[in-house]
Amino acid sequence: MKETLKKYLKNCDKRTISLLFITVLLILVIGSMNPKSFFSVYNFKSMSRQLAEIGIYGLALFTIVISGGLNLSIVAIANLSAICGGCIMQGLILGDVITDPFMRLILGILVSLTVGVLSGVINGYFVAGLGLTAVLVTSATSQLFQGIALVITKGSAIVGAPEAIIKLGSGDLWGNVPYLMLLAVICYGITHFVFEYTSYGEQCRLLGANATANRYSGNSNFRTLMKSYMLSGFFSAVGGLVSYSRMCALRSDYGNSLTSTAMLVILMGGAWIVAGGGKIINIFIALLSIQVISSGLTLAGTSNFTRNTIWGLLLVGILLLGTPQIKEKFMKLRSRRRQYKV
Amino acid sequence: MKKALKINDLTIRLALFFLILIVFACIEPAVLSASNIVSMINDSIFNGIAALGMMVIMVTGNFDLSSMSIGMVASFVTLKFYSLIGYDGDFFTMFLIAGVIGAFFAMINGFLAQKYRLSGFVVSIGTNLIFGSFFFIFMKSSYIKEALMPKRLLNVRTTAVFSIKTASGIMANINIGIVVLIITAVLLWLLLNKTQIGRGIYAIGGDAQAVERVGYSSMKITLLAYALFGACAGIAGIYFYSNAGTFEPAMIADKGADVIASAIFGGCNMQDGKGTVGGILAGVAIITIIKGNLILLGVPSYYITFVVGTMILLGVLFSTLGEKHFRKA
Repeated sequence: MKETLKKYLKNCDKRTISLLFITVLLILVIGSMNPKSFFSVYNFKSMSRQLAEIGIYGLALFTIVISGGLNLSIVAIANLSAICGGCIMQGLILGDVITDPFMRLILGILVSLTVGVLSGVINGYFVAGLGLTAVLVTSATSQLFQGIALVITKGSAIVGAPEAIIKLGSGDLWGNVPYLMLLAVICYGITHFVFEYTSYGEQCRLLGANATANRYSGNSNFRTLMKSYMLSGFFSAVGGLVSYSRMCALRSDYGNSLTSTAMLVILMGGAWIVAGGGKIINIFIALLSIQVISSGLTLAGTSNFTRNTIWGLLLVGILLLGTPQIKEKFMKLRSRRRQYKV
Repeated sequence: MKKALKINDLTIRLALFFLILIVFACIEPAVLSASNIVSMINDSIFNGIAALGMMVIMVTGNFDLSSMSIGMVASFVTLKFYSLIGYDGDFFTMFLIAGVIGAFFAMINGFLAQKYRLSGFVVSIGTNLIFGSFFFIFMKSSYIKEALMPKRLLNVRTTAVFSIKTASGIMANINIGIVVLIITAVLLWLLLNKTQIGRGIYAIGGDAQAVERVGYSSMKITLLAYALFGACAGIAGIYFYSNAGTFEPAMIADKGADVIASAIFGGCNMQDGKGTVGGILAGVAIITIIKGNLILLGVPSYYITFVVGTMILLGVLFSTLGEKHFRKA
């Protein structure tokens, strides 16, 4: 039993173990500061709802970062698709044709997912097809999508959501498991399957690590990157629906700070430091630890400024820890300690 | 062929600018009224200074999202410094101090990116969060009332370079900030085009290794580029806040999109380190004229983001594809 465990641990990713360790440590430390409110069912429910939102935006970024691209327009796509879908759900568009609320809901979800994928296609066409710089294109399309959303909403918030969406945002399965958590786990499961067991996932990793190698091994860079952008758009749309269900309102400028939080999550999970690297499990554990810190800060009653500073410091710190120079210094420290012991 | 390239660079943008101006003027003659032109010039000052700084970064092949928070933090420190020593401030030291502080903060970005071979863009996402919030953790309030602002800084709003009497009898003032913009543009142009260091800045965006072999220190050049960027951001920030009359951190945050838009529309591309001072000024002019005049033309204000987004996307498209086309020819 012990030996099999040891073998399993040896085969395990080092990052997974250290991330798990950090998460458990964080839970213990932050929980011990405020045990009554932290270890409560209410807190775990609200944590898992926030976690689902950030996590799905993280996935939208992950699918594109792993193939060496970048997408700054995830929040804009999310808002646009949620607005398109939400208008149909509430009967503001096509209200006279479809009167059945269930049909409206289904059509609304379909439309919002389609809009997400189409926005991904636009991004992908400009980046992969025409070879333009990803940062510039996606920051331009971010303005474009936000602009379209602004035109649809006419600058004001659209209040009200159908019952099913409200239930998704605040209801629980069997009274204890929030639906949003379930949705996030399903999304992570799907992405895990795609990036670990399909040829497309391998192509993405190869493209992220070395674009020329991917082309010479007979894969089309255009198709791989395009699929990544479409998947990113799809998850952005799912994230938009999640935000909609949490807020019960549609706004064109919702959640601009979510992009940097999502980046922090995937950076901590190991994507982006290693080109084409990053495992879904690591990203999920990183997401947990980020959410624990966030909840701890909320319980401590700190301002937004503290949170932003901590996020920024974490982002830069994680980046620096991944560089070879810092790693070397750590190795030297380690070997020195061993010498003392001998 | 060389001539064709030159046409592509600046002339097309200027032609586009005048084309838009003429089209707008045909639809609504009030566009060309003195008061509107003056207000457009005043609008372009902040955007212009910040976009010039952004250009230097993009020329070196990097990208930086933290310009607005650098501008904010630089002006916050400057204002606090003035209130600490009880000085009412004057234009020269205000731009100087804000520029130096901005340069310092931006150089942190540059140092991290260059020393540890990180992507400057990703570093700037993190430092953007830090700069934008670190100083306010220990402050009771992040808001500075008009009454507590250094008195003479507020004169920025009323000091005019020259004024024009409009048809309705009100004086339209061209703001003193235009002088700052012109000085920044001229100095940057001289530095980038007429000095050895400027060559280095352009070269590092094209091929960083070649620059090292020629004998430049890429660390020094990167730091200088970031310092220029930060100085521009700081100057733009202090101009913005003293023009607004009050200080609140979030006020400047949504201006960032316009700055990036002007830089992109000005022909900047970090893929191979492109960008010129003239191009940036033309880009700023185009973005300002579109954003400022759509309302006058009767377009509802919620269409503006959409129009600007489309314009930027087209700008990215044409600046890259046009280049490719000319290279092939």
